[in-house]
Amino acid sequence: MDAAHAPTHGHAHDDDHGHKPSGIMRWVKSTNHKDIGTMYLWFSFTMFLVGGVMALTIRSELFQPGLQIVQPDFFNSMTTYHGLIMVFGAIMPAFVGFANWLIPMQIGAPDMAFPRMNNLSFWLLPPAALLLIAAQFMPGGGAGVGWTMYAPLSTQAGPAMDLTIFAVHILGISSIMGSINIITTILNMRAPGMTLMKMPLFCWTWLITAYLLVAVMPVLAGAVTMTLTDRHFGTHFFNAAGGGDPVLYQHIFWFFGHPEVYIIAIPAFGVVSQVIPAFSRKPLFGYASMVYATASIAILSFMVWAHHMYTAGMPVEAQLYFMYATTLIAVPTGVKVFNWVATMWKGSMTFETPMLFAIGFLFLFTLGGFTGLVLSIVPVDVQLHDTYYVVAHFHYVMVAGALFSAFAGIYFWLPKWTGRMYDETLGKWHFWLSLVFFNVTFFVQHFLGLAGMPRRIPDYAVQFTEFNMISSIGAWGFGLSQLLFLYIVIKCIRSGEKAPDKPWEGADSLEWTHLPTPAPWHSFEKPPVLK
Amino acid sequence: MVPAEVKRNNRRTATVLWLIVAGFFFGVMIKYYLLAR
Repeated sequence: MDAAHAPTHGHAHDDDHGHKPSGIMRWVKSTNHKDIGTMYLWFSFTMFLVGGVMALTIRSELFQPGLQIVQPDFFNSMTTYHGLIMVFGAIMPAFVGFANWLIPMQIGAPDMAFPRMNNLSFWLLPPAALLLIAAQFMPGGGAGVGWTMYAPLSTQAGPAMDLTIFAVHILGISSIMGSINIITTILNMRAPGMTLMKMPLFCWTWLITAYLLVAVMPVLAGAVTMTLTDRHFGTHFFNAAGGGDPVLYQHIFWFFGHPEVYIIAIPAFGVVSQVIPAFSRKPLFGYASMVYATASIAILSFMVWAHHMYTAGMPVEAQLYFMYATTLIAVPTGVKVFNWVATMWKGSMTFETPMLFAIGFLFLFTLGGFTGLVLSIVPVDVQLHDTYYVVAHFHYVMVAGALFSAFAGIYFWLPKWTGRMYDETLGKWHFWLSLVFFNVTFFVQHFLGLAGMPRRIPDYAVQFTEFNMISSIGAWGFGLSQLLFLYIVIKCIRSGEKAPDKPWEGADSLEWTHLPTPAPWHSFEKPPVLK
Repeated sequence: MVPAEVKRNNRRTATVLWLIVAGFFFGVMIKYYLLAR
């Protein structure tokens, strides 16, 4: 971003105009992108804890072979809702929170294009989350169908499945409204001079992600609606006895599901693309190629869905096509990884907490991408499908990828959001504890998968015991480390040192160069002057 | 009205996007409903 440090209204006077509402109604009726962003982030962290408790239930049961803590039905329910809550309730809302906070400020707009729809997008989330939690208490317990909700299990599951379907509908509507808001904001509301190719990469990644969401969320909604009509209205979309096909569900689901991986990963790329240049004190290397690589990843993500279902049965020609198409994704992803490394090359680097999480992301996401390449090879996947190797792979992408990037972003923008600095020493502790315990939890799962341990089972053969014990200890360590993060954030908000306007000297996007810290409640009511 | 880099109607942009959403949602269900007949 080469916006000039032109004098604007930002520093000159307070934009609040004295009508900032107070009390609970400030949040309930909020149309302010910053308040809504804050709510998204806190909601996301709450769901992260809920999903985390489910993860610890799973890992506690798997500490030893045999059944010690929970019954198999409950275990299946935990794996299902852990996945749904983490994907739809924790990671996605976290990045929508970033989008709300940052996109208007980074493009010089006063707010999102549709502030009231923005409010509704957020307030649809808590009821959906309550439905997912309430599903646990339905007759027969939660629907232990896996987060993928495959038919015929999902068409035959108990009443909890209906709550789950309804929750997915609501979450989907929320995401679609958020995406339409983001696309319209970025396309139509950029300040004069802020051309698309001058936007910070975070805005680019969200523009591309929002298009992905608009295209695939309705497909998921269609899939679960068809599941609903199969369950209650006599259709046979996925019922072989009625002329339908359960494998059809898998195709439709993964047409959504693979782009969903990138819906989570691409905004994470955007955050890292802001953090690494700031702490390398260099502009992002290969800006244009980063934009094109991100768009390429998004387009390719529509063409590879069946690599999730090699073992479901398909012609060998189809397997070959999906294998080659999947390996092709490594090219634009490699462009991004090399560009991040090149950004750091000969940079004047410092290693504050956001940079540590960004570098952690770079190493571990690349490892997760590499195991993804391994899994894309058909003969290998036939061996590894539905084993713990797959669990290890996608947790490297989702946790060390998306979550570490979210942590990098939170530490990076906390001063802008709160006007206060976080405790750097504790932040570094949070990073190192997370890094070590993450690897203790998930690295050993590669070995479990290679040795043949299936996923989604509450009991296992005794030869898997040691690695499972290590993994469970790591999971508890990782979970407890996140309480330190909560403490750091609360300490920052309550008693952190006052942040300077620009605490990171290498940060160059508009929220740092044209606005005071903390960001005023209203910003850019008059657009900034850019060169 | 805040001046912007492009002059485009927000509602028109959103309407096009909602139509894409409706197309995918109903399209996938109608396609497989018709295929099954």
